[in-house]
Amino acid sequence: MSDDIHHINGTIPCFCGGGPGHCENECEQCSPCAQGSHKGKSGKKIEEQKIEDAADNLFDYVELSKRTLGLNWNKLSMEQGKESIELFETLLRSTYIDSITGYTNEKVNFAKRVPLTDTTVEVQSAVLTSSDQIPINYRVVKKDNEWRVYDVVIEGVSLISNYRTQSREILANNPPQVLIDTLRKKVGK
Amino acid sequence: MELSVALLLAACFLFFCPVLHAEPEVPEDINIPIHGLQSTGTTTGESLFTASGGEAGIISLRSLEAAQVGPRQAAPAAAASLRPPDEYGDVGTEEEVPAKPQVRITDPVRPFNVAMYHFNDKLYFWAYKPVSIGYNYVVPGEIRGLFSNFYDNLKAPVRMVNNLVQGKPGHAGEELAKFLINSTVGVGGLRNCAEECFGLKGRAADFGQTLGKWSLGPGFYLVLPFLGPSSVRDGFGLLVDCTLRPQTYFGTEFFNYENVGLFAHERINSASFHLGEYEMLKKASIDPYVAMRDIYIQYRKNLIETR
Repeated sequence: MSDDIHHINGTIPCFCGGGPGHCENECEQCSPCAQGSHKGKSGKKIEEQKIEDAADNLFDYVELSKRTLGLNWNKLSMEQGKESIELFETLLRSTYIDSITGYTNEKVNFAKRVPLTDTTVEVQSAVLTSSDQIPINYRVVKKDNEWRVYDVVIEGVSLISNYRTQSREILANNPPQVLIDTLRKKVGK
Repeated sequence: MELSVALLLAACFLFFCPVLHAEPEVPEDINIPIHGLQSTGTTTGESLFTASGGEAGIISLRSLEAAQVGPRQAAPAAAASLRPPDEYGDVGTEEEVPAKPQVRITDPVRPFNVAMYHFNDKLYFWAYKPVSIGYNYVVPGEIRGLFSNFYDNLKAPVRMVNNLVQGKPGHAGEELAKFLINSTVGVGGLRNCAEECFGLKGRAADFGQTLGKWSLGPGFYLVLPFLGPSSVRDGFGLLVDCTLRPQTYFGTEFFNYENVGLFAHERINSASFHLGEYEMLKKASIDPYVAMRDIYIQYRKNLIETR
């Protein structure tokens, strides 16, 4: 049982996708990055930069942060809101880079696209690791004619839902500034 | 004898205790009032989260929500309009963009759970991880894979019985076939021939999932020492599944060196394939305890409802 949890833990940050069509292309860009064509410390930096650039094209960090805070978003002041977005962005980006550089040569199969509403679609995929097949679904939203990921669902566990529960628990008993301070400490600023 | 008494007691607890009746999900928008509690002071908020009885907690939460839903609905809209519009816009309510309703589990024994969480955390970093790293170094990947297949094969009776009681005889038959093929052609389960050569995938099933399919709610969140996140229902399910696993019957008593050793080896062997994942979870989460609890309940819910 605990094995399943750890299994999910490792794959939650491992996301690589985009919108319909856009999705498969971006993912193919991520895989060579993970395969480590560059060597050494400076090579690692180059790879991380490439992954970061690819990720920036895929994820809608603003949407991710807003959905994480949910209706608490409206409780934050403008500066707090802005700061929380930057901090979430940094947190998500660094965990994504860490996980992508840790994965190598996994094949990703894109299955079907399930429309959720007029502007959102769920793109279903499966990552084939050495031991088994992990179903990962990306939820993408259309904004300004661009499709971007706003949620990743791995084996039924939604990333946004997870972060939302965490921030809700913190915000239930503490003022919003505590959440911001915790995030700040987390990303090391 | 002791085992059967223990199981009987646990069954009584499960079926008669009102705390464990299935908890309906609370749709996201009704959660607004929770944040209103901040103005009433932190103690109220805390007492709702750490309710001594799960159901009592739920009732008080719901009555509070019901009382507050009226005026509260106006409040966020008003608050939003008071704030000058910024480049980010306002977040939509959940009705605009569908997400799953928030899945929750009550946590009435939180201090115990947090203590167990810290215990498991230390256990991982001080015991499982160093042993797994050493084990990884000494035993090559292929052999660890063989062990993994072997233990997986030994769990086949669990899957067979649970598939049957979940009303999936086809999958139960598939698991039986897989067990027979792997035990014979696969040399005692060391090689997963059924999947590699015949494409028999089988279906994972455990008794906690079976109880969930029979509409028993998870009860409350429980972190088990050594075993990790669980719930009352799933902990009981684990106990029942243990009776179907041959390792339990090794040796003469319920806990002795032989069967504990076998279970420990199984854990360490499987942990060797997942090194680094727990650290990644801790790094990625704001509050790892809450993150693990949430991952656990979402995963189990998905397992019960869609698989």
